[in-house]
Amino acid sequence: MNISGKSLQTGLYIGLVMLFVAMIGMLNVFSTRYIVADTLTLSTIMLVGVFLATGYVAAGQSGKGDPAGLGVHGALAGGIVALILSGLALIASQFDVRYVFVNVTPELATVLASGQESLVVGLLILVAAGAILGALGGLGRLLPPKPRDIGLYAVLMIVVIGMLQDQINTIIALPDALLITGLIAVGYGVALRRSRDRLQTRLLIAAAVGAALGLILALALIVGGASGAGTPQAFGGPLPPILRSFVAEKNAAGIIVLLALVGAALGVTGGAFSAATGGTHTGGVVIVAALLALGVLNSAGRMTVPVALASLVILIAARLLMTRTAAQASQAYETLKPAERRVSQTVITLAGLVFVLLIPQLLSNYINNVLDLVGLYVMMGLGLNIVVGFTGLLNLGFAAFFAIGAYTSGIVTTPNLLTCGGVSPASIPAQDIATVCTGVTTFWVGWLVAIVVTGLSGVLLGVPVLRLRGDYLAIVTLGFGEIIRLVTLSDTFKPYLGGAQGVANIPPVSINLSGLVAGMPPETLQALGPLGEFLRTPQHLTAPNQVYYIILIGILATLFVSYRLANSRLGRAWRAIREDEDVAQAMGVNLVRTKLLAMGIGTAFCGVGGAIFASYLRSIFPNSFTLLISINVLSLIIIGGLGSIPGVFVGALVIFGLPEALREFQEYRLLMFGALLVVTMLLRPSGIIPPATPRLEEQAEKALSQEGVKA
Amino acid sequence: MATQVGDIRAEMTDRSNPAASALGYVSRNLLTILGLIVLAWLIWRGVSTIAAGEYTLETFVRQLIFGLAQGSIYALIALGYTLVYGILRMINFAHSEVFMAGTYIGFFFIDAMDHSGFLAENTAISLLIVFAAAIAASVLVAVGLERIAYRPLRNAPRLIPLITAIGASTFLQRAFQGLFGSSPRVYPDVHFYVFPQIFNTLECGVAEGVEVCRGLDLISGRYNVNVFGVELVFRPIYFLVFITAIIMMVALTQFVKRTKTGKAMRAVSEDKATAALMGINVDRVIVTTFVLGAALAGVAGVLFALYNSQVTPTMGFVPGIKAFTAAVLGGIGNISGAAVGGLFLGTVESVSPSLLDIPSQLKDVIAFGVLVLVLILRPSGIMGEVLTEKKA
Repeated sequence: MNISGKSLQTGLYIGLVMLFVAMIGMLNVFSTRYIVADTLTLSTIMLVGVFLATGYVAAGQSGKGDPAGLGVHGALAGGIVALILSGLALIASQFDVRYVFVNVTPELATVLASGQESLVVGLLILVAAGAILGALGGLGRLLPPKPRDIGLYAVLMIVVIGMLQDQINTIIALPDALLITGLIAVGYGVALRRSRDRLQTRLLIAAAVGAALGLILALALIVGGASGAGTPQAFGGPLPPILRSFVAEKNAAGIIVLLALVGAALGVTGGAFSAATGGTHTGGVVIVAALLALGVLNSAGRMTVPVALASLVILIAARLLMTRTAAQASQAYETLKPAERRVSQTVITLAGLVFVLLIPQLLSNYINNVLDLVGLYVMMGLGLNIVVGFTGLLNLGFAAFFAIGAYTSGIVTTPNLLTCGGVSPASIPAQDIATVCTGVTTFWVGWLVAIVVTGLSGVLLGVPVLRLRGDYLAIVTLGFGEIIRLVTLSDTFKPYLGGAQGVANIPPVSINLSGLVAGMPPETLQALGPLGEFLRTPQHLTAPNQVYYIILIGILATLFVSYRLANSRLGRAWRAIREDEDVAQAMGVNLVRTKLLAMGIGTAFCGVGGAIFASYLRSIFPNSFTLLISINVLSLIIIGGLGSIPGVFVGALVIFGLPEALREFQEYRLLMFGALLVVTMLLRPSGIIPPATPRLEEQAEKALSQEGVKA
Repeated sequence: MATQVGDIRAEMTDRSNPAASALGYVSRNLLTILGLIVLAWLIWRGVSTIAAGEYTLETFVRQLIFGLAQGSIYALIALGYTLVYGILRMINFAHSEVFMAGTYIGFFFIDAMDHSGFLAENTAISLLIVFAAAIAASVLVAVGLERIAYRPLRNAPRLIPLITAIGASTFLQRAFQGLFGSSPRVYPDVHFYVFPQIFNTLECGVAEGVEVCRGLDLISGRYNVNVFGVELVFRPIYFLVFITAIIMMVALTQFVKRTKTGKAMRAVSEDKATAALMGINVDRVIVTTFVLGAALAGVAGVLFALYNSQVTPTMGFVPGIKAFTAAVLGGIGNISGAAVGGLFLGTVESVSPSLLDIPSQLKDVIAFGVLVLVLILRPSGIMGEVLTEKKA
């Protein structure tokens, strides 16, 4: 059999890439991270994955179809990769090259040698593994696509969950997860069985069944009681906090009502999913499967081998379920009448809303913080999406507007030269500050001011650059961004902007509804329980899971504006400018006004996020707003899909959320980020979620295709 | 529709209403007027500083020399930007990393030679080796960029290669950081003595009991001189940088003007398709362009490190932006323009803080400010042909 040179070449290229990965120290860092407790480290998984992938790709390149040919080529390519790495290990162990290559340490050699005492033995194991796994990867080409994809996806999910296992601190214990899954499944099944009825009837029955089950649970809880004084346990796991207070007070009515309601809600949700569009259905299955897997993880505390296997089973089952029933569900959706469809969509939207509202309470502070920052990036991304995605005005200095928003809000809500009427706050005695500094306002006013100021500054920036084209525009905006950063950093403006120390002691977002309930007698407030408490005292949103809600409001507002504008005349004008300015102008689009509107609105979104950022962090520094952030935002909308609104969310999660959650990647985040940009541009320039064609164009296309184009 | 357009046109050229036309004139040229106002303000500041006696001739000459040296570096890097832009109409955002790569790799060579003593004994050859290594490294990075990141995207809409370049730039910075660590590497002091016969009063010391005067130290020397009544500290390295840059630029200009490859480069930059039809190997020409730009950047890198000493993986960013400003200033796509732009920017940057009484913290703002002013007032640059289309 002749050996195809191409597959050897593949092995060589991948080997060189892995050489680089090893030399920058990634393998060292990964080897300290256990994905499956005490058994598999991230570096091991990486090597295994790379060998399999090498074999797979090389076998494909070889053009052979028979198992022998595939296996041999895979083995050869995998072996080459392993050989290159072994060479590095030998060098690392014999010579000290750390003066030049700081990460090529003897530890690296040990990692590559699978921790064996004898280097030679370890490296032989490495080469053997490379060959065998490569062969397996090559043989993987023989598998039919479906099992292959499913298996791949399940393993990937396990790795991701394993990497996140320290962060995911859910209150969803295994019993809770099982109950939720069960109730939803019951609702799903019930609705499915009665497919001949109207959707509303189906949902009602599902709700009834769910409520009944909830009732049974409640009775079991009341009769059986909960054990343990500190954290009451029942059904084999800790009780959710809401139930705890009711159980403690022996509030039987409360327990029954709560569980019945929850049962009904989950039943209805399950029922609605049985007749939903394919995408929604898939989303629902993914979320439920994830909850279940997390419950399993939570029961053991870490990902041990049994947990990993159980999660694998759950995920594979979910994937199979998804493919089989998604078609069924979307078929059912097609048969629904419009009124029924609205009902289904409303239920699912409500369920989604509840889920989104509850999420921060289920996750750890760390992940909530990540989610918050992702949310801020989403707002910036939506703004930049309008400027770059819709209108095509390249902007590399967007972080500057975020800075303007944050600084404006920060300045307006703290005592300083501006708000104290030109007097330095340091010279005012503490008790007089409130009376002298009349300019200091609450967050809410500051928020509005920030939005307006940022929008205006966007328009101001837009004016000089109207004439500029593509690359020049990029560089000028980059220059502006840097100018703003340097100005905020400088001593010249220190009295107003705080210089390198920035603005400090910014008050948090506070909700003060006490004015509303000022007239109420105290007994009424007491009866309202927690709600009364909430109304009476000023609430300061300081913790990540509290700021989450204000960020959610910001996102919803910007999302709404984005969506409406995207499908409006202005949005079409923007897209026309992006495609070809001259033609747009000839068609009557006022270039100046449209471009300035794009800049103004886009930057105003930054103001929305910037003000929240200032109040969340409580103090802001010039170095929070570097060029890197601008590039981050630009990349997230490009990788998510330029001009597509869901793409912004995906992009933010991928570029910012995932690496933040994965500590090990911190050092290499920018490296992978740069590589991701290049690879995405080379392979999939339209991004992960390319923009959908706007509605009118879609309708036009449909109309044309139905009638046929009659000349 | 036709009537509407006609109305608009009539309105725009309506000379019967003097107020309207004056307002129209101002609003159309608002930017230019604003830019000129800023310029006038700056000039006034400068004049008043001189008049107040806070700015002496000595300061000026000192800063001018430093500015010319710095500007030469910018010019050399700017040539890389301008060459690539001329051929591919794209900004090679990662050129700053090409510059950095040369300097960084050059460090390892000069460091090794310093430790072994080779540097002190055979300074000339050592320097040649360092330059060669830096050029090789820069060229390698540039060619790699072209083959992997730019070539597949040659026909893509303009945004995509730009993003790719940004990604490549970030990647290269962090790759160097990951491979070699982020702590700064310091170029050793290099002493390159020349002309002991002419400068027989300089660098005198006792060696083996005999007094030896080694001559002018080209790289590290500092000498007090009196030129036309002005007291200066003269560093030959600045002079060396300037001369080297001039020589390289003249060589490049001649290369592009006279050699066959140079002609091919000009042809490809004018019209790629026709050049290909004429039998020119477009790929090879493009690679040659990248190689030339990278070689110049490598030379610039070593020169920069010789008087700046510190080398880090992120050192390329600021000189890169300034070099790009210089290229635009001189007219992008224009070789002599890049040279002029670089020298001009270097001088302005060096002289302005004292002359215009701008705090030195805001020094970088000057470069960005120049960029913005140029792009507003004269996008084609000082010496450039109009490669940009004005819109809106």
